[in-house]
Formats: sequence, structure tokens, C-alpha cells
Amino acid sequence: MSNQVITVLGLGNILMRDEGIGVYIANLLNTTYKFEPDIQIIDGGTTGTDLLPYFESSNKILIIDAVNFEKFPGYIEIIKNDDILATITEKISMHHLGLSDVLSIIKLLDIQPQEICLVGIEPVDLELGLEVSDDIKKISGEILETVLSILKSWGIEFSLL
Amino acid sequence: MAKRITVDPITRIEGHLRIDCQIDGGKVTNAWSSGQMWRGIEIILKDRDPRDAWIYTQRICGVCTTVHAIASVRAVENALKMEIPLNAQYIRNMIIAAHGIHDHIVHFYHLSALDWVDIVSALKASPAKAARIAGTLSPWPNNTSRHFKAVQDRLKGFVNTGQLGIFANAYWGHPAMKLPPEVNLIAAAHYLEAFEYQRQINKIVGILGSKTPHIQNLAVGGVSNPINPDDQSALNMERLYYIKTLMDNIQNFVLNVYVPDVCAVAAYYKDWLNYGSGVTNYLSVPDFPIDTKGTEFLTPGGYIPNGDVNQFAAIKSFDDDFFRKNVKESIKHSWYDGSWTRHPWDEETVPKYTDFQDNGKYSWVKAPSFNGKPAQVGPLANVLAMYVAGHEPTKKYLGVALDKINGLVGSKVPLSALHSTLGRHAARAVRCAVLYDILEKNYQLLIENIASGDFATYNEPEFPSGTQRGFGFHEAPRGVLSHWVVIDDGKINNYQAVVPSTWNAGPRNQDDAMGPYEASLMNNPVAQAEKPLEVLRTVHSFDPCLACAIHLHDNKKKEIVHVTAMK
Repeated sequence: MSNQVITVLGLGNILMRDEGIGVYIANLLNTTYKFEPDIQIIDGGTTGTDLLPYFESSNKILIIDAVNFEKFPGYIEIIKNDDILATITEKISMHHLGLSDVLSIIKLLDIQPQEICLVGIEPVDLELGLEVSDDIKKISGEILETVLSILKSWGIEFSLL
Repeated sequence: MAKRITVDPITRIEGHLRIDCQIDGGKVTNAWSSGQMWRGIEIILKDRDPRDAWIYTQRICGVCTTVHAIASVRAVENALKMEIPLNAQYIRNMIIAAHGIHDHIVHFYHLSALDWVDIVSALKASPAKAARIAGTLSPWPNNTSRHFKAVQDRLKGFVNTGQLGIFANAYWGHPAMKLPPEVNLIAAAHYLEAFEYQRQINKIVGILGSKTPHIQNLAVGGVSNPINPDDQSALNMERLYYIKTLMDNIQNFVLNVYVPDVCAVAAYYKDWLNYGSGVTNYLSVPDFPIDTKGTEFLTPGGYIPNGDVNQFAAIKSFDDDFFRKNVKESIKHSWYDGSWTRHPWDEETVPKYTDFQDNGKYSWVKAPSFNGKPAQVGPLANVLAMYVAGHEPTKKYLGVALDKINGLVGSKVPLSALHSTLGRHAARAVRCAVLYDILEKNYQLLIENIASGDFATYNEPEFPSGTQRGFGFHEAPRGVLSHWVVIDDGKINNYQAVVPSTWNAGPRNQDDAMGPYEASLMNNPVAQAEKPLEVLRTVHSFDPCLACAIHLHDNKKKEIVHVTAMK
């Protein structure tokens, strides 16, 4: 298991505040933690098929993204494997076309990672702007904990840089 | 009685493109194209450092990240009257050529083929017969009965799961679907193979750009790639040889799969060489600069009014006055405050939403004009300009494509057939083949230049006080992209991006003339108003940015086409 590839994929549009929450969290992970064994952390932006190689080359993939769960702003939920496609096609956000596309393509091409996990966060503010909202910043510790606990369950040790 | 159809598939996702058509007597008699999303990049960039603009502009769009980065650095470099080291030009050129090849392949197979190809019909095909037909089209090693059988089995398995995903909501069994089951199977097999090739070509972008999906290696003044033939961590010979292998695999796929497939679709659907011309003022720009100043280019571009190649006016440099002066945008029919027609440097971005007003404002997209008229942009505009400018690779590959179509149809298809829905697809395939030649040429130029001992990749920009205005253009996969910047004392004062889909998807302009999508839909046949496949065919042929979404749907069978009787 030592040579398994684990990828964290932050998605979202960083021009629309909390739309970019996945990228924001991925950058936080990248700049504050080190991992053993090492993992790859990708800023996937809002692209679609450009992400295929990461799905193809990873054993496990953790996606972080804004999802409109219709619960309350700041709500965090973990969704796994086939449930992801079912969820995001209902609770779609601007760039989910790309992700739902990718998820069905990897099925069709039979290049699915063993495990896909989505940490979805309900956004607060989707207006134009480069910074995520203060409300999201406040819960970023909680989001990081959620992400790190999944990585830990995958056998990844982490420590602060 | 006339009917009004609204194709607005993506209202739940903040919306992108909505098309309305009036249908009477089985054809389109009026059309409106409406951009449903407001893009406020201009506001985000105000007062920022011009050296950083490209990092933000590549986030405007999820599909075309690279092109906005390139146009942005070119705009700032133009404002500062900078020269760019040759290595930087070649590396940028290779990135945009590879990106263009990638984009064209993805567009044909993954974003528009299902308008013409019926996947369910492919399940009924005889794999042996499919192999025989494919053998007459090209010598592609995977065109075997065994491979086609394997593809058919995989599709059956996928369809049987009931989760059609990307294939959901395509128009299976629609009366306008004409391909025999075997040709559908061939196309489906190539659809799957195209995923592998688009991935390979994208690797080139990743190697040179340091990263995909967002390249990291650009800088105002050049690129940040360190060049050192002997250094493992720099751009070295080993990486360059790997790039060459990837390039050659791709060209094989383009010439033996993509081009023949487009020709076959054109032959089986030859009626569609008569529909969809629309606006025939064509605008493209030269690209792939091979000097430091941006005055010598590997692909020509220019303006062709009224489809008349004799009136071709070339655009000649990154500082071309004819281009600079003639780009304007009108907001008469767009959701912005006022009714002006202005040059991009003089625009303001003040949103003012009204309802959808057929004769008033109905789109977030502004209406661009060139020389006062709407213009069509994209591979067709580019191929026509390159052809009339005598560009050898274009003449060669256009000849290959037309010969193939003629052979399949059994008669001579005139060059004027390119002014059509399928003409746009054919031109895109031709341009894709041309881009390989361009990629290879830049590869050679880069190797030779490095061998001569020139490792320079960057000139440092200097910002004088006062105001500078600049523009940068790029012949992107979807057509002319231009960024316009006004810099005041080293900070961005105004920034406007006039993107390809603005040219093509624009609403009526200052003179109420229709935009290219709108005009191209006029007189298109529509067999079933509830299933306007024909409307999608024409709109998709432009490679609309994110209207590719028209193929993608949720599992809830959301209504995407709305039909109402006209009073």
C-alpha cells in the first residue's frame, strides 16, 4: 500500500468568493501541513475533462467543493463514491457540470479510483470577489479537520509545517 | 401556427446560454441568443497590478483557462511596448498549439458528436461491417471488428446500468439522425479513444506550463521556464523528446481519425452543408509570433466581409491599427446601463437587468462589431483567412478534407459549402491538423535556438508613470480573443475581455443586426419543436463556451426545452 497515490482536489471559481472554497482549503492544506507518505494537492479550478488524468492516476481521491445542500450556510457533508454523482446532479453549482461529466466519464472508461470522497461545504457568499467570506474562514478549521480525518483513515500521517 | 421554443438547459446553475427560436412551417423564422451569466472580471481587476492580471483572467472560464492567460500578458506587453525573448514566444506558441489541438478534439467528440451520432443505434451494428466501412475511411489500426465488438459490449454494459450520465438526454432515435448503425459504432469507438488522445496532448500543456488545469509559467515579459539542456529540473532535452513523442501520436489520431470522421459526418449529412451560414463577415487574427516584436507570424489572420475572399484585409502585427480601431461593443440589447457603442478602452461595466425583452434588452453578452458590422469568429474564419493568404499547411489539409468529402458524396462540394453548420466542423478539423504543423515548427525553432546558446526567457517589464493603453489578441480555439487594458501609474484602470463567444453569441447590435448564432439559425429545419436537435447542431457547431452543457443533465429529467404557441 505504500505506493498508493492519493490526491486532494480543490474545486471552484476563485473569482466568486465562496465558490472557490475548495481551492481555498486545498491551498491551506498545501501551505500549512506536510504529509507522510506524501499526497498531491491540486487546484482544479472549474475545469472538467482536464481533471481526468488525476482520476486515472489516483487510488483514492478527495474532492473539496462548494455544494448547495439547501441546509444552511457553512454546513459540511461528506459524500462517497456513487452518491456523489447523484447528489451533485441535484444540488448543482456553477462548475459541477465539469465534475459530473468527469464522474460519468471515468465510469464509462472504467478508470475509477478505489475510493472517491467529496467534502461539500454550503457557501455563504457567491458575489464577485477574490476572498472567501469571513463566515467560511471561521469554519475553515472544521473543514480542515474533516479533510484530515479522511486522509488519516486512508493511512496518511500529517503534521504542521 | 408558429411556435416559440426556449432552450435554456442550465437555469439552475446561474445560467449561461439560452436560445429562443420562433418556428413556423418546420423551420426557424426568428432567433435570439441570450447569455445568462454576468461576467464581472473587469471589476475584479480594477486597481490591481497588471503583472498579475493573467492569473485572474485564466479563471474567467472553466474550459479556456490558457487562452485568457495568453491574451492578458500580450495586452500588458502591448501597453508597455515590450519585446519578448524568442524562447518565450516558442514556448507560448507550443502551449497554445497543444491547447488548440486538445480543444478541437474535445469539441468534436465530446461536446458535439452526439448531435450527429446515435449511441443507442450503435448497439445494433455489425462490428464486422463497421470494420469494413472504417477501412475505407482510413488506415487506423484500431478499426477492427474485434475492437468494435469490445466497444459495443462496453456501451451495452453502460446503457444497461440505466445511468447514462454524459449520454443522457441526447436525442436517440430522432428523425434527424441519419447515420447507419455501423457508422454510429465507429464514431462511438473513436469517441472513447479521443479521451486518451486529448489527455496526451494536454500533457504537453502540463509539461511546458508547469501545471494543468492552470498554467503557471507565464509572466508579463516572457515565461518563467528555466531552460538548461543539462539540468534535470529545467526544460531539458529529455522533456523535449517526450513532447515530440506525444505530438506525433496526436497527429496520427488527427489525420486518421478526426479528419476522416468529420468528413464522413459531412457526407452522410450533406444537407447540413447548406444550413447555418448566418453572419459571413469573418474575423480572425494572426498568431504564433516568431519574432520578438510580434510582427511575423506562422498563421495569418484578417477580416473577410460578406464571405468575399477578394476583400480580405490582413491583420499584420500585435500592434495592428486596423484591428485596434475597429473593435467596438454595443449594449443596446444587453443588460447594462445605457445604449452606447464604444471602443473597449472606453467601456464601463454597469449592469442593469430587465426582463427578457424580444425587442429590447435580453442578454448579458454585449454585441461586438468589427468595422460596424457583426462578425463571425472561430476556426472557419481562421481557415478562410489562412486559405486566402496562401498558407501552405491550410491549403494542404483543406484539400485533404474536401477530397475525402467529395469521394464519399460522389460529387464535387464547392468551397462555399464551408459557410455552413458542418463547414464549421470541417474547418475546425482542418485547423486542428494545421496546428500540429505549427507545434512541430515551434518545437524545431525552440531546439535550434537553445542549441545556438540562447537561454533567455524573460524581459523585465517597466511601468512608466501616466497612462498606457494596450490590447492583446489570440486566435483561440473558439476564435478571436482580445483583452484590452488601460494602465494608470502602474495599476489597472480599465480591463475588458472581448471573448470569442461574445462575438458569436452576441445579441442584436446597435443597428439591430443579428449576431452570428441568431443569424445562423434562420431557416434551419426543425422536425420536432419539442426536440430541437437541429437548433443544437447549429449552435454547437460554433463550439459555444459552456453551452456544451446542453448535453448534460440531471437525473430528475428537468425540462430543458420549453415550447409555447405564438399569439
